[in-house]
Order: sequence, then C-alpha cells, then structure tokens
Amino acid sequence: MIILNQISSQDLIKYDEREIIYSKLEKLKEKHSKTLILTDFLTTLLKTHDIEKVSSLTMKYMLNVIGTCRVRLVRKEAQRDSFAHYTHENGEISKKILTRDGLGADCFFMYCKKVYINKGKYAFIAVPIKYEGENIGAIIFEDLDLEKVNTPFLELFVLPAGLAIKNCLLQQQLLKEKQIIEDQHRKINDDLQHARKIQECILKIGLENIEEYKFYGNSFQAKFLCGDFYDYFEKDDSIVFYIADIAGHGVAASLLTIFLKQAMLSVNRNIKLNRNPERYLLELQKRFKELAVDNNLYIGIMVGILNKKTNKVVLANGGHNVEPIHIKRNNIIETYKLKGVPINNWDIQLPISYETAEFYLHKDDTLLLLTDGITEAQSETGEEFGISQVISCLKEGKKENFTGTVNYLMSKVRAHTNDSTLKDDISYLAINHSS
Amino acid sequence: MIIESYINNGTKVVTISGEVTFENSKEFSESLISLTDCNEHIILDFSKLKYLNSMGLSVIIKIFSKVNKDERKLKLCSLNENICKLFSITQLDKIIDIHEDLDSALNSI
Repeated sequence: MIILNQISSQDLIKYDEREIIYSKLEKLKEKHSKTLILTDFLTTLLKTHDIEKVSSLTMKYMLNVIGTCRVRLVRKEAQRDSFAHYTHENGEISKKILTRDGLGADCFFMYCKKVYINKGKYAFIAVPIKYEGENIGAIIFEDLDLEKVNTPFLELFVLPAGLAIKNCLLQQQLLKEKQIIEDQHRKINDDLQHARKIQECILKIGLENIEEYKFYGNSFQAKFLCGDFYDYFEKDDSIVFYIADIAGHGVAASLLTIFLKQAMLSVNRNIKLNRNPERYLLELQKRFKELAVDNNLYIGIMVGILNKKTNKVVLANGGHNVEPIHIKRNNIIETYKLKGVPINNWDIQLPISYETAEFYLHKDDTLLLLTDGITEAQSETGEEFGISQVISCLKEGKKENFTGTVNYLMSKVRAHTNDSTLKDDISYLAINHSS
Repeated sequence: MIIESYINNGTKVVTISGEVTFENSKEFSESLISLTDCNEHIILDFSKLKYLNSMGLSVIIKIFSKVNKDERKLKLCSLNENICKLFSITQLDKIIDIHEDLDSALNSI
C-alpha cells in the first residue's frame, strides 16, 4: 500500500507510453527480420541453378517466416504430366514423383488464382507458385496459427521461387534437347563413316598392273564423303578409264559415284567396242536423264579408251574441267584442252557434244588425270595452285618411277595449302606404259 | 559473299562479290533466284566474283532456264579467267551470252 502511494499518475503515463513503444519496436523487429529473411532468400536463389535446391530452399525459408508447422511443395517436372511432391517434416525433406492424378487435392491448389486459406479444424494455407501466369506449383502449410500469418508477405516469397523453378525447368529442357541433338549428330557421323568405308571399297586406290600398263590412283575427300570418282576396266583388247567430279559434296554427290560406277560398267557390258569413248558418254547421259535427279547435280567426266595392242588413247570430255596431262618419256609435257557438255539433267536446250583427242601412250609415257581440287587448291593467301604449277612440279619432280612423280606433285599441293583442311575433293588417276 | 542489285535503264544488274563455295552455295542459290524473279532482263555482273563452284554453276543454269521461259534475257559479264574457262569447257557459253564488261552487256539488251 505504501508502494502504491509512492507511484504518481505521471509515472503510470510514462510506463504506458514505454509499453506502446516497446510493442511497436517488437513489431518492427519482427517485420525487419522477415525482410532480412526474404532478402537472404532472394540472394541465395540467384546463386542456385539446381531445381532440387530451389525447391528445398523455398520450403525452408518460408517455414522460417511462418514458424514450426508441416509444409509440402508440389511443382511441375520437365516431363509432361509429371510432378515433384516434397514433404518437410521434423527437419527432413522427402520427395516423390507423381502424376496429375496422384497429386490429389494438391493439384487443385496449383491452379488456384490466389492464396487459399482453410480456417477449419485442419487449418492450412496453400500458396500457388506461378510464373507469368503459368501454374508452376504450390506450397501448402499445415498445423499453423492462421492469426500470425502475413499472407501478402508469403506471396512475396513465391514470386522469385516461381521464376527460379521455371528457369531450372527450362534449363533441363535445353539440356535434354542438346543431348538429343548430340546423339543424332553422333549417329549421323557414324553413318557417314560407314558410307565413306563403302566408297573406299569401290574405289581402286593404289597401284595396279594390267599387262604392261600401270594404274595409280587415289582420292581424298574434303568433307565426309567424296564427290570425285575414277575407275578403269578392260574391254576386249582395250582398257576403258575415266575420272569424274560430281557437282557438290555430301551424301547426294557420293551416292552418284555409286551410280556412275555401275552405269559405266553396265554401258561397258552392253556396248560393242568401237574405241569411241563418246559412246560411253552418250549412254551415260541417257541413263542419267532417266535417273531424274535434282538438276543441281551433274557430272563432269573425262573418258578414255586405251588400245593395248596399238597403245593408242582416245579421250572424250564430258565437261571435266581439268585438261589431261601427257607426260612423255622425253619429259615433254602436253595437255589436251577439250570441251564437252557435262552429264546433266538441266532444263535447257544445250546441244550435246564431246570433243575428243587421240595420241599414243608410248613406253615410259604417263597420262595423268586430275580433278580440280588439285588445280584450285588454295594457299593461305588465297592463291590457287593452278595447272601451270602442276606442270612445273611434274617436270621438276620427274622420278625413276611415275608413282614417285605423282607423289611429288601431291606433296607440293599439300605444301601449297599448308596442309590445311581441303576445300574440295582431290583425286588423280595416272596411267603409265611401263618399259 | 555479297549480292547486290540495281536497275539500269530497265535492266536489273545483279553484282556478286566474293566466292561461291560449298558453304554458301545454298545462300547464293536462294538470294539469286529471289532477286531474278522479276520482270526485267537480267545481267549478272561477275567483276567482283573470285570463284564459282559447280553448284553455283547449276544455279546460273536454273536462272537461265527460268528467264528463258519468261522470254527475258540473261547476260553475264566480266568473268575472270577461271570462271570463263568453266563456261567454255562445259560449252555453256554457246547458249548463255557472256560479255567482257557491263557496258557491252547493257548495250546488247
């Protein structure tokens, strides 16, 4: 009683004011700490690219804000009609993958437009997670005191969570598509390797003797598959030979090399030898027209017939744009500039004509057929090798055997291009009358 | 590779600069076919074209065929030695009009 008489009314007023201030300070402190949590959440989310971490972070941070209770989170998976379902209980998070049917009522909360509050006996809050109107997921809190929950503050959390989850889902999709593309690329590469091996099987690479004649050929592709081709085969007392360059690269051009080989062999079987290579070109043109391929594709081809008895060679040009080179035994080099229409399927009125040349391949003479990948091989400064340089190399590189001369030429071409990647296929066929 | 065009006295002059190679032949085809799909006579000016590959040649032939069917004229001018050789060897110079320079090509129309 004595104590009461000592407290004045002014003291009471001051006490009340202090209480109000303390209460306000407590509220500010609580709001401030929640803001700190939100800021920390945003900062951590910015550094996280893993969707599992984003999901668990969202649950943990929002639990911090709400207080102790049970929480679960559902969200879309990258796979269609697949959802991740997380449950946070007693500090541990467990995850299940469910279909839409398996989600049950939680599916409904994903599609809610705003926060769903249930105030009944089993109170809960369900907050949908969205990204630009798309339903990404939902987070559901149970066993909580609804009076203490600041719903607008909760909604602030799900905004960046939606963005982060969407970002992770898009990344997953991108990685998946990248994998598909890589797998397809690998398969295509494998298929091209197989196709290349088939091409190599049908090409006569290296040195071969036919009686007193030696044939030496090789082919190097610029891309996976080669659009150049050469071949030679016997016909009665003659040898028919040719070199060809098919317009373009790639699968189409390489498939046409198979057609070319088969067509020429077929023409050879059906034709009566009259030592006229033009006949081969005319028949080939007829078969090519029947093939009716895209008119972008055409074949430049030089065909020759070598009479083994007389050593006479007759050449006919079907649009091949590198002149044949005759390296004579006395080291004189002669070229034959022949014109001719390529084997084509063009929709134009171009009179078919093939210019021819005749000469003798004496002992020690070599006839060299090249494709324009050699004459047009470019140095690093863009300078072409050119036919003149080919001839110079053949003169200076005259070796004991003709294969050495050809190899010398090829080494000069490689040096000219500085061994860089070929822009065009390179092929050669050398025919030597050995002494 | 750059393709440009302008009209000179009712004739469309298309200038191709650079090189037509395997890598850009599709782009060359699409651009040239689109540019030449018009009502005018066409001159292809090759003065700045350094290289034309076999696929590029096919494109020229395709355009020639279309222009012919439309009863228009196609002329080529200022071909370098290699490109000239290509048209000569394949005998395409027998049906496609080739001129030494642009003035000559314009005067021929």
